[in-house]
Amino acid sequence: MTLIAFLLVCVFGMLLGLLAQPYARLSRLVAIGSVAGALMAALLINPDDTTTVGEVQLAASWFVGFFLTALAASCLLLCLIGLLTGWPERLAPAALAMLAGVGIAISSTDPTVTVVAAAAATAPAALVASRIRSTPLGVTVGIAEMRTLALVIAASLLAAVTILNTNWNSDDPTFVLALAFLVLAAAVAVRSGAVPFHVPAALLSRSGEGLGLVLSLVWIPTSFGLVALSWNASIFGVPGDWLDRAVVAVQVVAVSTLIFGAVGAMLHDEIEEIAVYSIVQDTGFVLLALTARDADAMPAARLWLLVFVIAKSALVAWVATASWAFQTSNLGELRGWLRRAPLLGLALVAIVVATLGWPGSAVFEARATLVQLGLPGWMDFLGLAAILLSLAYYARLLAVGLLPPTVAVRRAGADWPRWPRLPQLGHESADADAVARAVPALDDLPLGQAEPVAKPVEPEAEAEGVPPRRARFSIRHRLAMAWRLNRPFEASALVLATALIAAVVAFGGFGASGASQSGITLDQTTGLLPNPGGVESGSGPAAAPTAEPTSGTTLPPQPSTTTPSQSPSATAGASPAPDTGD
Amino acid sequence: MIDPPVLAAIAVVIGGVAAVTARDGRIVVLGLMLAAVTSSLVASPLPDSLAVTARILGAMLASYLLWATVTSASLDSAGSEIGLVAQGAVAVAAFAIGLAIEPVDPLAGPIVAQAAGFSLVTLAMAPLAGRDVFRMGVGVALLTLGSSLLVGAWSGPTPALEQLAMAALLVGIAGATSVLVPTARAEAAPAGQANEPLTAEPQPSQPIAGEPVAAQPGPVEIPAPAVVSGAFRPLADAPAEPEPMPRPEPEGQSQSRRPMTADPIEPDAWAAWAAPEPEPRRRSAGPVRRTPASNQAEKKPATRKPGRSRPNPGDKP
Repeated sequence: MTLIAFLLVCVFGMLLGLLAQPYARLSRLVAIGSVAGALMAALLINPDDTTTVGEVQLAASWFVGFFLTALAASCLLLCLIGLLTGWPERLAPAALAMLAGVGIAISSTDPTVTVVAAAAATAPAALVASRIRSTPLGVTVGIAEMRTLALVIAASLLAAVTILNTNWNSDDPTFVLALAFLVLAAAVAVRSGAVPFHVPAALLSRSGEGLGLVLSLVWIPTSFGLVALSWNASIFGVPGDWLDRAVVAVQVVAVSTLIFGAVGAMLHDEIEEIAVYSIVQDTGFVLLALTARDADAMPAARLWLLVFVIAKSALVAWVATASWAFQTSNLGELRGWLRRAPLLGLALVAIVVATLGWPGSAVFEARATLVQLGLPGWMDFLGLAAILLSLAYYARLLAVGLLPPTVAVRRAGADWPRWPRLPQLGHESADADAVARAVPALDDLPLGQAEPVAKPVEPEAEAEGVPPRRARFSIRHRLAMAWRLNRPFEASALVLATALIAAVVAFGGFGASGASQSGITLDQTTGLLPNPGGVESGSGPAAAPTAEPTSGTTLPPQPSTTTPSQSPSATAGASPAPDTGD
Repeated sequence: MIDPPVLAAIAVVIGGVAAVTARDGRIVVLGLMLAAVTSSLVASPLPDSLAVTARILGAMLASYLLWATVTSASLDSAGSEIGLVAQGAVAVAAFAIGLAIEPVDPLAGPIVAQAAGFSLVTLAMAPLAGRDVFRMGVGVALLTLGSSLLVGAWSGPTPALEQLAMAALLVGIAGATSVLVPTARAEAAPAGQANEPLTAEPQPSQPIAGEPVAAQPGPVEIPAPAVVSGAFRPLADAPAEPEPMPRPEPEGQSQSRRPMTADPIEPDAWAAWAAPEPEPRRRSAGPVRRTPASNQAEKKPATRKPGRSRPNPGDKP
């Protein structure tokens, strides 16, 4: 029931959020409350929870709960940051709709339900992209979204029907498999914005989406990639000429994404574009996990997906906060940002550490594993190259921050905590309300100057040597002023918190390593599927089932669940199958 | 006696043809609804009533979303480029091919489901290749319905939860289409905004010594990007002092910290558009005989307004 509770919270939260859109304050309240409720429900998901809906079971697992928690926590943190830097009105409902779809997709035991739900979970990206629909750029982005949605749907259904069906009229059954693999990988690549499909992502970065970027470029592609990876080893891990050619094609895309994504991040001067190209570059590892077709790559891929979700959310939040704090997103105008915003600097360093790690850390090993298993042996250097390229654009960001600050940076407020100074009132008696009227609204002041302005001391009284009086503010007023005055600090602290969470997860903390050893429900179900075309597996070990198929699924009758493709080694580290509850 | 799945398959194709070929947006939506409702019935055996109800409700909700969009924005479809008869012939041909081929042997579902699926997928291709967001949404919906029919034909009956997920997917597609369709303001933009040229202050020309300039050339008109790219035909009666192109305002969003810049203007096309005939300079003694060479020499390159430091959105990254 915990899974159902999570789904209900997401669905009702999404509906309430959409209904409350016309009311600004109410919509924010509903959005924050709904996302917080979704986070709580995700935290409470029982790994052994199973629910039967019709003929299909929804079964949770450790990783399912962890992944949904990571998504919901990222969404909540970004919404909180959005309260300070600029509220993304449609982000929360779209994210809740996505969470509901992803919740069904990664917990269903039926492959077709899984892919249909995963495809439905990609549709909310339109909610974010619709913000600019009235512009020429918005029309272009909208068209790209619709085409991507069409590709995702077609690829998902084709892959599902390919996986489920074993009776193809074809001399070479691997041709159908190769086609399904290619289309599925293309859907992942296009949805992720991999090179050369990065133009829509690049356009989206120029649309001023801000925090909304994370939904389209991180959360949705990651969720869809997770579903695509679930049957990767067991279904596509068979030899065949057609399949090998398809894998080579995907490898080319992955390598180009790893290299040109970083090059794009280095060449652009807008930090939104730098962040987008950084995200694009790191999606190359998802494609490498697809090309690996190896059960040993799955734990590394799952850990990478977890880290990717939180670290890139933190990066998008960092970009939004920096752009808001300094009122510019141009790197040339952001010179010296690090001097004014050391917390943001720490957050960026934490993001770098979470994304790259160092030798021996969980995320570093995960990246290395994906490169080793996803590419030929002579291309192992690409792992190091990707790290160096990533370091180059991150170092560029940090180096620019150390330069002498520009006017825009000097004008902005620092992100360390401050306490508001009380204004001098002169020598006339005045109460706090009069002072409040005299002091300009803090919201109207530029950032960093959000302190009450002192009134000039009257010359006569100054001549008499009478000390000026100060305003009498209640502690409530002062706290309110301090809250508003410290908005840069609060936003930076939230970004830093997100980045630190990402770093902890990247090092296997919070149980991420253990969760990544288990998979989603479909990982265990697809191991029981018959091999399409009856193709025998080659060298690549495939995921093997750890339990009998869950009851109530619509999987076809299994003539023999012990196909040669199932290697016992693949079960190492796999979590126990969810309790069917029967 | 014709089987219900056959009738339903025919209705699906008719609905698909209507959705693709009709120009009236309401007929498009009705055709799509017919296809979506009847596609759940192209199965043998029929799904249970709860699943069918879910699909029908999903289809109706999706259609309602599109209907609301169509009626509120007075939206019409571009219709088929090849006409109703040709589009119908294409659909029938695809249907016949679906009846003839057997990629899966034996089929797990009715063959008419495969035929109708082929037909819908074929019909969806033309809208997906276009640039009309509304038609693309219709195309995505038809593609989804066709794919689901193929899944039903090749993999057998679908469980109730899949029907529910499919209904949610249809609603999601319709919702995505309705929020991505440009608003009435955007539709009006070609006449009021997108076609309106940007203004740029001309470079102050150096007066020739002893030769008073009779008239300074007015503001150089820079055509809007949509005009340059050929998407819209420029208005012949453009106002004398057009409003500058407004910065795109995000809808319903409060985080528009940094407004976008206009679309890129290709240098060559821009130069071609931005070079109006300047007012002839006049000598004090009378008009000057103008030659093409002198014309060329006097033409000044138009400059754009400052503040465009960001790369333009249409530039390929």
